[in-house]
Amino acid sequence: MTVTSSPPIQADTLDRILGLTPGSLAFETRHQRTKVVDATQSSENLLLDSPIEGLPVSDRLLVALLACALTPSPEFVAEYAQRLKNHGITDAIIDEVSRGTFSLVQDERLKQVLTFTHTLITDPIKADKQALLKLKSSGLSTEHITALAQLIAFVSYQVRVSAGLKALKAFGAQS
Amino acid sequence: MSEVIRIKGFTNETLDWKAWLDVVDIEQATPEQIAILEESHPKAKVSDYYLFLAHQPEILRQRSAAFNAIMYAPGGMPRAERELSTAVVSRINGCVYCASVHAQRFEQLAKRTDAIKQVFEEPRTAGTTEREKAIVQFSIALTEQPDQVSKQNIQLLKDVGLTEAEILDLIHSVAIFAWANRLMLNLGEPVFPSA
Repeated sequence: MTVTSSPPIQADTLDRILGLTPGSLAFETRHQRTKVVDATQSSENLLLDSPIEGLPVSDRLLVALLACALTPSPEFVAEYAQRLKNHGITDAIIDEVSRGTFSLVQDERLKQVLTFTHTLITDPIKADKQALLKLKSSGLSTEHITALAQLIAFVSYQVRVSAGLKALKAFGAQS
Repeated sequence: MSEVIRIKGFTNETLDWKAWLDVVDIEQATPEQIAILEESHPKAKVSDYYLFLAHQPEILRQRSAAFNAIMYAPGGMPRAERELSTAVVSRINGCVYCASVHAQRFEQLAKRTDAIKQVFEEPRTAGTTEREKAIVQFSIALTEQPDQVSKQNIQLLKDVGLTEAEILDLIHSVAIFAWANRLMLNLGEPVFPSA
């Protein structure tokens, strides 16, 4: 009999990467707030999977990976690194961004976006009008900037929901 | 609003907010954009913040669905305590605009301003009861060092009487303001009432 090593595919990213299963305290508590669960996953799908004209999914995943590396969130670094591999991004770039730097990224526009991500994750109050104007002059439209700002802010949310649920799971496992 | 609070650059006054880039012109908005603005917030059609986010209407729709479910859903953690946690997160992240809005909401719901004054003065020691102090401490921890939050942090909340459902609401409230603060801080700036 062939045993497959990959886990069953679950639609919900947080449940999957945290290993939250029905019957556990963290899963049952979380799924009382169905609307939040659904809107969280729908946001991720829109920001990191659906097509956005002019913003390739691999660029958006790289932004997410950098945000998670800087937060830090080891679970989501692993998740977004794996998805980048599936998009054919080289190990060298994935490994570097997983450590919070991006000197190997050649594309000027993408470098600007990653610089913006760095500021917004590590010191959000430092983000200013000049930073947005720089993004515009690198060739991004206001629609692109809206999507990127939502993406970076969403990842800040997602990693904190993840960290809280992980602690709740550990708490549930002891009692 | 019973009294104006101004402490360390934070206030409970009603502020305006101005986008740094072009917003959607409501006269030119698509029916989809109008519908999503209307379901996002009662004043979204005259708000620079929502008119900016309407550049990506579907993303705004899901953000608003998450935000409204977290902040307004019945049951679970009392809404005043959700507002307290979001005021703490906004104070820590330096989001003056968000802090002003949620200071007002706390006062409307709790009929007092004492905890908010403490948050503005020094968030790390804020809280008028042991329960409030635990909520404040958890909000700071999940904002500043999410990777360090552990079952001990959950235990501290249980010790002051929070249920698991309330703890989930607290996690969500803190997290959604990691999101909200970053939008408010990087897409525009607060406008203060003219003196």
